[in-house]
Amino acid sequence: MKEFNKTNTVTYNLMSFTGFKSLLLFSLLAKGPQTNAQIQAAFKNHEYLKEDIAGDTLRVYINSLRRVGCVIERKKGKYVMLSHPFELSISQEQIRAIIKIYRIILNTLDVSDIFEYEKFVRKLISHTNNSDLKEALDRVSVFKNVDTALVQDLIKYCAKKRKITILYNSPRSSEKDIQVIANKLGISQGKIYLYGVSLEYNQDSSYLLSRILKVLSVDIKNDNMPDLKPVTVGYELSKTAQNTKLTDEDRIVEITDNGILVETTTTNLFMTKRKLLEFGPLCTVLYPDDFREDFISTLKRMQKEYSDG
Amino acid sequence: MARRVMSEKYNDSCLRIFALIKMFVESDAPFAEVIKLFADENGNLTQKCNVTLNKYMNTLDLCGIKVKKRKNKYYLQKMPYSIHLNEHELYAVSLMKSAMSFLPKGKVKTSLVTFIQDLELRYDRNTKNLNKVVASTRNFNLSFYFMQFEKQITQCENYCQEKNKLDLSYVGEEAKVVNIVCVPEEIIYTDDIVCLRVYESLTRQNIDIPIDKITNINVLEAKDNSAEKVCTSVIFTLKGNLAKSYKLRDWETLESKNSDGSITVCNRGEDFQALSIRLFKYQDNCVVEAPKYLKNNIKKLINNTLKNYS
Repeated sequence: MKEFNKTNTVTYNLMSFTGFKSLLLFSLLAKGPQTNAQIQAAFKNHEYLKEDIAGDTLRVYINSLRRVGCVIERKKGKYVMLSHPFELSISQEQIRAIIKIYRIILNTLDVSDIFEYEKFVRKLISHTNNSDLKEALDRVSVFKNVDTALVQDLIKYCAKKRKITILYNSPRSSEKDIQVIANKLGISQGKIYLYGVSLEYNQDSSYLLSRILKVLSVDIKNDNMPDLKPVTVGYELSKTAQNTKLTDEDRIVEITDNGILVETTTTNLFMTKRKLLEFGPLCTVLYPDDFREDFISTLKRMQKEYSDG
Repeated sequence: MARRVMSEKYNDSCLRIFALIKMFVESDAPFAEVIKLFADENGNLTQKCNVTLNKYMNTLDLCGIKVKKRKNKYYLQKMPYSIHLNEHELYAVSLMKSAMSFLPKGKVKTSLVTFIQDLELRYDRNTKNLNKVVASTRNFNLSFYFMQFEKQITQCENYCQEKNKLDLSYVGEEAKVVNIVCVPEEIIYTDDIVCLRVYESLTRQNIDIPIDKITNINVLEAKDNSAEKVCTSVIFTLKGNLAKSYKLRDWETLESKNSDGSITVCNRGEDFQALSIRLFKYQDNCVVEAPKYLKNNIKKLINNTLKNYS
C-alpha cells in the first residue's frame, strides 16, 4: 500500500487483481443490468486495469459470482443481478420493531411524517424483497389502497391552505365536485381525512381520503376566500373529565365548582355535537340555546331508539 | 487460477475475496479466523498467508470497502454494496431512532439497533454527507409525547412479552378503582394517551387501560395458556347515510344488509368503552343489539347525559 501511495501505480505485488476484477464486476451489476459491451468498457476505462476482458473470462467471473451466492441471469443481452449475499436482510424481530414504531407514530405524528415513514419502509421492502414485512405493513397501513401521489399533493396544498376542487365519491350523492380550502390531513379511527372549509356550506368539513378520486383544480391565488361565521359554543366539563385533551379551538373560560367552563369556536355544529357527545354525562352544553336544544333532541331520539327495543 | 468443475469454471481469488467480505459482514472477525482463509491445502499457516491477506485487504481498500483492525479484530466500516437515501428517507430513519426509545429492552429493540447499523453501513457517500445535514437540521424528538410514562411503558412492554397473568388495579369510570385478573396483550398509542391492552377472560373482552390510571400490578405465576382468545362479539345496527358510508374496521364483519337499508355489524376485540364512545357519536343512527349488558350501558349513558338537562 505504501508503494501505491508513493507511485499511484497498482502492481501484482500490491493486490489481488482477480479479486479486484470480480469486485468491480459485482459493483457494476449492483448498479443495474449491464451489456457485455458496457462491462468491457468499464474494464477498459478503469484507471487501474485499462485492459480488455475476453468473453470466456467474463463468463468465469460471472460463474464465480454465482458460486458466492449472487443470482445473475442473462436477459435481453444484459447480465442482471437479481440478488446477492450483501443485501440488507430483515429478521422477524426487526419486522416487529418496524411495525411497532409505525403504530406508535400513527396516533401521535402528522400524516406527512407517517407518510415519510411508510414510504421509507416500502423502499426497504423493495430493496430486500421481504414479503413478510410487506404483509405486516399492509395490515397496519393507513395508506393502503390510497393514491400516494394524491396524498403528496394534498400535503402540499394543506401546507399552503390552497383552495382546491376535488372529485369526491360521496356515499349520498355519488361523484361530485367539491370546492374546499385544504387545511390539514388527519387520521381518525384508522382512516385518513382531508380537513378543510367547504365552500358550498361555508363551514369546516372533513372528507375521507379514500373517497377523493382526484384533485380537479388548484387556485394558487386563493382569491374569494369565504366569509365564515363561526359560532361560539359553551359547555361545562365535570372534574372527572378534566384530563381530556382540549383542541386548539377550545379555551377554558372559567373554573367552576363542578369542573370547567369551556368555549369552542366552530363553523360546523354537526362535528361539534359529535365531539361533545364523546364526553357523555361528563359534559353539559350551556349555549347557544338552539344548539343546546338540538343536543337534547338528539339524546332524546337516541333514548327512543333503545326504549323501542 | 481457473478450475473446472463439471462444465463450470470459476476463480479461486474471486471466491476467497467474497468469503473474506462475508466474514466481515456477518460479525466482527478475529484475525485468527480470517487468516485461516489463506491457509495452504493442508491447513498450515505460513508467512505467505499474511502477505496474501495483506494483498486482499489492499484490494478491498482500493474497491472502497473499508475495514478497520482493532485489538486483533476486523471491523467492517463500509459495505461493498451501497444504498442511496434521500433527505425524506433519512428523516424516516431518524424518526425510527427516536421512536426506538419506546421499545422495551430485549431482542426486538436490540435487533432494531443492529438493523439501523446494517443500514448505515450501506449508505453511499452522498447519503452519508446528507445524513450529517439531516441530523443537524431535522432533530426529531418523540419524547414530548410519552417520555413521562417511559418507565411504565417499558415495564408494561415486559409484561406483554412475558405473558404472565396479572392482578391489576386501575382507576376506572367515575374515579372508581377496578380490580381485574387479565393477560397483557400490547401497548396501544392513541393521541397522547398510552394504554395497556389486556384481555380479561372473565368478561371475554379486551380492555385498553391508560397507563397513568394503573395503580397496582401483581404478576401472577400462571402463564397465559389460552391457544385462542375469544372476545365477546358486539352486534350493532347502523341506519341512514351512515349505513351507506360506514367502512368496516379490520376487526368487524358485516352480519347483514337489512331491507330498510340498515346494516348489522359484528365487532370483536375493540375495547368496550372506546367502542361505546365511538357508537355514541353516531347518535340515533346506531343501536347496539348485543351483548345485553353493553346495550344497557349505552342506555345508562344516554339517560345519565340527559339528566344534565333536567
